[in-house]
Amino acid sequence: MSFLTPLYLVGIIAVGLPVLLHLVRHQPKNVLLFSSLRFLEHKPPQTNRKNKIENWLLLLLRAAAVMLLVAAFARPFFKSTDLELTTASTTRQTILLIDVSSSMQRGTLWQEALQTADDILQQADKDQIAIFTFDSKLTAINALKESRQSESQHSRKTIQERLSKLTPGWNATNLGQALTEIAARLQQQAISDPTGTILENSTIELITDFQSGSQISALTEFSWPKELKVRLHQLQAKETSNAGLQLLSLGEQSQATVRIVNAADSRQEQFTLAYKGKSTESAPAEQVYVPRGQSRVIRLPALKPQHLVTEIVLTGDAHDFDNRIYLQPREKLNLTIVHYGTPAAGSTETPDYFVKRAFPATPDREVEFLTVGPDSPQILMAVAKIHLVIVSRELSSSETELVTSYLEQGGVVLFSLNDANSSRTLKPILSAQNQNSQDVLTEPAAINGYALLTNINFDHPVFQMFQAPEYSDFTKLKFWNYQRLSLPQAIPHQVLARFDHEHPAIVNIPIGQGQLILMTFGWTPQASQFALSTKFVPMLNAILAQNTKWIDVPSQFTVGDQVKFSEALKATNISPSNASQIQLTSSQQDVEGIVQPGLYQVTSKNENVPAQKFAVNLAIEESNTAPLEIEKLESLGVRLFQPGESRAASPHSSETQRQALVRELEQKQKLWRWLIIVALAMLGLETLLAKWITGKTSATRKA
Amino acid sequence: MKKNSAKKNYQNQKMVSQRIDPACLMRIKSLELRAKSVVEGNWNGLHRSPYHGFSVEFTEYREYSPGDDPRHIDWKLAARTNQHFIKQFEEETNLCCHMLLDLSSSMQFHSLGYSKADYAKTLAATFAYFLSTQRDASGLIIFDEQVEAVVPARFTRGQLRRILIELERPPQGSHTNFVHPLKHAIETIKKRGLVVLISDLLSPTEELNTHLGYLRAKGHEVALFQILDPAEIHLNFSETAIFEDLESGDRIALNPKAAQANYQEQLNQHLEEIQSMCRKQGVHYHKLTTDTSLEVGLSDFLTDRAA
Repeated sequence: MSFLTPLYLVGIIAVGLPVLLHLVRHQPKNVLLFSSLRFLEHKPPQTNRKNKIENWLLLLLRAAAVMLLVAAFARPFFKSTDLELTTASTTRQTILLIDVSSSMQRGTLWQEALQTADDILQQADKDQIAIFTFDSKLTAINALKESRQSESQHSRKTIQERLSKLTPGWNATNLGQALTEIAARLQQQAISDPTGTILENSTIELITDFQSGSQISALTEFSWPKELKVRLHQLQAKETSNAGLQLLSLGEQSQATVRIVNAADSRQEQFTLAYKGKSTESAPAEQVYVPRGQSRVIRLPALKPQHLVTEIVLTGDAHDFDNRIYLQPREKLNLTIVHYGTPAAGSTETPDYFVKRAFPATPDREVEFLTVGPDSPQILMAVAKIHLVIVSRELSSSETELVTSYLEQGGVVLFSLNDANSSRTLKPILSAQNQNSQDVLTEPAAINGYALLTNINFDHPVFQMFQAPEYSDFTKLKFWNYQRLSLPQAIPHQVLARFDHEHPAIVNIPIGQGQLILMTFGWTPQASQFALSTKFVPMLNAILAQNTKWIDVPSQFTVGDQVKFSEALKATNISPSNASQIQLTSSQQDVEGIVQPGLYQVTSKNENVPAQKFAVNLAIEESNTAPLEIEKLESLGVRLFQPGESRAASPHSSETQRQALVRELEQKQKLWRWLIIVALAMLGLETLLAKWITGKTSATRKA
Repeated sequence: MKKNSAKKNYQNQKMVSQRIDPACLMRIKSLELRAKSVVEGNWNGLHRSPYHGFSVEFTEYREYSPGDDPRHIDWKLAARTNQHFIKQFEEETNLCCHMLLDLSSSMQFHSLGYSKADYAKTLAATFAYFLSTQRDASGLIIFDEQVEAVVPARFTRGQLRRILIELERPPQGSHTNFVHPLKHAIETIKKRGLVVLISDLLSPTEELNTHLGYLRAKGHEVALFQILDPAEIHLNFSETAIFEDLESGDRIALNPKAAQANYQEQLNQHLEEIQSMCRKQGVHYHKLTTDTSLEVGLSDFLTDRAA
């Protein structure tokens, strides 16, 4: 049995208190004035025998209660064997955090970094070693848990090997995130650790060029643990001149707008920008003056298509890791939209008039809009080339078949129940998949005045863009008439919006691989205000985007971005222009973290689908290579070792560790609670006994 | 002589039968009235004067009225005027009595509803009144640790009143010290007379012995009245208590029953000492407990003196 706070045991003196009280009790209370004490001999009053025994019992109870209280305050606990075991070994942790961002490719920085790491490893010979690298993400080379295991010379060697295999990559530097993640991991460890001295015994050895382009904003939301300290090993390149390039926009005919960023500690201010292409014809170069620490935006002249420009190259600075941007002009999409409806012919009373104008051509797309009237000839077009089918009239049986097959192949059909006639087509389309289509009922709804859209499912892609409160107001959109639709439960469907909390207004019905978006209303001004509202164009384009085959894929990425391919591509491999191919699994639709800048081409086994091309460039922050001010890091709460400062003395920490263990042990056992309970019981007993005794004595007195 | 003593005895018995309960007496507020009630005129002429012969200093004539003593008729004047006149003289006292009254804090003790001081004051007042009725001179010295008040002995009309006023003043002092009052008495009392010391005599008595000897040597007749509360004699307290000395303020916790025997032994020894001292010095010693009626005390004293 030991005590956590043995000083409280001094309180045992308080046992004298009941004894004193018992003594004091014998002192008579009444004072008698007497003429002279000359003849009086001091004889303390004596208690009779019976009283004495009872009072002794009370005294014992009181003393025991006091002693128990004192013992409870001293926080007793039973020693256990793991206390000795854990106190015996206190090891320190050294966490190497090595910057592998692209700016580390400069000069001899990487060699210096490896050398520093080696030095640290030799110094921290007895410590547990964990190694992490960071760029935009934190990567464990020798994780914390691994390092907790017993060290051996062998593992030292593997650490060395792992270190030597490291090379700087092309990612941006997110120093803040790396530091917070490591601190959070250590904190997590400290929670499970009973001694609570893990943070104190851990040192983060940060090896970085500490460039001002490092992102440290993640630290603002993180409260850095006071015990954890970071030692900064700042590497500095001999040549500090560096400028970087960022592609801002790439117009038609490869007319590029670029930003040139010159580092604050650069010695050069004059740079040359030049196109570089596959063709041998040399493109004109342009001289640019950028003062140090500033940036300039340059619009490069447009070039002829035959130049086949793929890169823009900057020259004039000391480091060329960031002097190249790859260009991949966007390819125009050709979209085909088929509308089965009455041709407008300038009349605003037909749905065609409005829907035709809802899909304008943009620099990124060409839209071919075909209106198929009831009397028009059949369109002869491969179903695969149609991107959206809109139905606003009754279809003939052949047309119905075409639409159904289109749906089953994964097409998107927007069906408007413009009038009672058009609704007749609905049943055959639904019956293709479902036998219950006979239960589908449509009839004109009885409207008192007008109807409004309610219960809108803003999570659905069609409504997602209206999610923000400033766009989510649909109350100005009034509907004069619509078709009351009742769909049986057997047909799987999702109601995206309702009329006045009641009848479905917009329903999404998956059919085959495709989906049928059913509007139970028409959008002409006679039926509703939909076509005239601001919601019309964005909503129809959102429906067009439902066709995932033709997802709008950007062609410019930054290193580390997630690259997503269109579904139809079914990409199997990615071929970088300057590296080996990247194999993909058959269903993979995205590649996380393209690690190297360059031009990429994604090819598919399906030869009908054209290859997708994209360019990957460096993050511009990496070009900001001037050193960051250390104070900035300190102002965010990170505790840094001052130059020459060593770690806290270990005996002190081992003592605190032991104390922490003892504290935890005591908290687990919580013996003091039992002591308090027993003390209270004693006091209760004492009260009862005292009451009984006084009752008894008063009774005898009365007698 | 025998006839005389028989007469005194008879008187004593009469007094016993008529004596007043001191508790009732003490309820009378006026000290004078108290003294009057005690004296009742019984003891006229019972005292002895150390001087012989009456003072014959003429003051005035008064017409004789029946009942006057015919011895006092001025026969020469009757012969000249054929009228009978009583010749009145300014009478000089035969006895000069000095009362030394101890009013120290210890005299404040009481167990009967009135303190020893009250009793002592009544005793002194009784003496004074008695002496005034006897046309004797009486004086008063009140003391505690020092002399607090002095009324020189004389027989005048206002003397009794002065004495009573002094007696009624509230007590102030704390300790008892016999040296100062006795010295004062020795130095100031020139004429031989009676010195009555009224005190509880609970303080040490060494110096008292010496000074009583001086007084006696000067030819004074000394009477010592020791006033004690019955509780002081018996220590018959039932409950345990803290006993606080009225003079020194010292405190002791005491079980009176346990301490009783020892206390009585010590007290008796002390009283014995005083008595033997008085015997040696030829001092009339009278122990009065506050529950004794004053007449008894007085008559005892007077009888003792007369013997």
